[in-house]
Amino acid sequence: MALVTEPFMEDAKLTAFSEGMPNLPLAGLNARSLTNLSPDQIKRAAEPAFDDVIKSLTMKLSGVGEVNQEEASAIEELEVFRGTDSLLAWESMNRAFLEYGWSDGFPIVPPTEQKVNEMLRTTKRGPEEVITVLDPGMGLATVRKIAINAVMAGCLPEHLPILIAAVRGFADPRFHYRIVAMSTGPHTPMMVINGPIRRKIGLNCEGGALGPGAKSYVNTVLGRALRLIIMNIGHTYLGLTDMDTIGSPIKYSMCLGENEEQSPWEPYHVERGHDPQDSTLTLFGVESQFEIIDYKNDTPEGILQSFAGTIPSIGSFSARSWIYPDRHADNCVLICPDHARVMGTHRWSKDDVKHYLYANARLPARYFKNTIELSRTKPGTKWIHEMEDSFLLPVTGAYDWFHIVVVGGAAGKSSYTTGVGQAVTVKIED
Amino acid sequence: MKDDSISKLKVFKPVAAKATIHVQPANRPPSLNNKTVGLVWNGKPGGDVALGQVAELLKKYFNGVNIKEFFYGQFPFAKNQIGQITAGCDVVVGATGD
Repeated sequence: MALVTEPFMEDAKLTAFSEGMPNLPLAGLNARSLTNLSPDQIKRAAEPAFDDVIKSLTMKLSGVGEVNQEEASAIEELEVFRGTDSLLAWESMNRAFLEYGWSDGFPIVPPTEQKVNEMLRTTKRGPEEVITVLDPGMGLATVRKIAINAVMAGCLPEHLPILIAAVRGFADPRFHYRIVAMSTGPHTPMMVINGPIRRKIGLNCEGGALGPGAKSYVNTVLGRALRLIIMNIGHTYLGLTDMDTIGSPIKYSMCLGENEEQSPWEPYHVERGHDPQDSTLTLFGVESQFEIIDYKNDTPEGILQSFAGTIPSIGSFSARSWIYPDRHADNCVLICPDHARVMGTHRWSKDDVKHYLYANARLPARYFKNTIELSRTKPGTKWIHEMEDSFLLPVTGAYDWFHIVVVGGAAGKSSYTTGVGQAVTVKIED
Repeated sequence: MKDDSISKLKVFKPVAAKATIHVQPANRPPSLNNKTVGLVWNGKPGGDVALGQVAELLKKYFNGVNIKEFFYGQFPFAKNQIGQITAGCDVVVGATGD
């Protein structure tokens, strides 16, 4: 059985159902959450649940996990919407998709048989091939379902292989997909695309690559499709199994192409072991995005000092990941061409940049002591609590938790994304 | 309204079917006297305190209760970790804080 706070009860029930335990007993704690409470307050919240704990552990449960009959109706693949004209029929569809929870809030492109079949022609994989099973709903990510959500997002047929690669990336346990999908934080997968496919599909690798605008249309719909896939294939719905506290616009869509042409270094995917002519997709689990402005400096040290002053943020869980067991945070340094050019001019390699950041992007120990729960930290890190408050500590576990991608247009403004999990690179195939 | 004057839009549903998983519930003992109770914390803040309170109450109201605490820091737990928990316990209480 499990102890659960009230706002997470539905989340727990749905997850237990999906995992084959529809009868898993859950005892409600008398608190909205256990964060920001004193130990005494938590104990008082737990005490009323004790009777339910005993009943759950000593009374026989009925039945084994069974397929819910409502879910069986998901096998009915098509739905018809009606209106006095086609526009009204489309409006009826949009209203319904919102009501069902299948929409991200923006108008949906109708996933008609014609559009989905057009999309399916761009892959050699069969429509019923299961790429993976997505948490928390244990949804079967078939090629057809990926295509349906891709059409809804506004994707073109040539985008399907990229989305299939992304879903393959979700299956890699290093990515920590479950955390990205379900967290109480505004986590989202960021897609970084490398190789020839960028130009073939018109991906924006330059100014405003992560923002709105016609020039970023391909970026926008790819990222949007991934969010719809997480929702509708993974059964991750806001307030039910996506327990985000405040949210963030980055969850709508986050996709960019590396500006390989203006990079002084080898492309990111080559650094990751791929051939330059391969087209790849890298997934970063992203928690938040910061801007880093430096217009003044023309030396690597000068510019990177601005980075080192921006990156450390105790409010970001990624800054503390190295202190907890089994946690990793690959952070992405989205370096603009103007900053990258200075690095290249002075012959600084990517590793030089990473080592500088690891050595200089630090926070005083007092911030860690204030936020780290001693009981959660891994062996070998308890010494942090004994350090002087002013002692500077790193915000990553190693220098190579920083990943460098060149992107953007003119002006000395770079960006940084704080991470969760490890970056996963997947080759894009037909 | 006649059906032939209506515009129809036929679309695929985007929601995926779910993988079918069956899990047999663990046997429940009639009493927790002399039983081993596993308390499994997923590392979320406060979960350990809530479980600690359950442990205190179990010891107060049942004779010979043996408490075993588990914390791995990562979730979902790996198969070997789940094996360690179930091998050593008669019943298990999990806690998700947050």
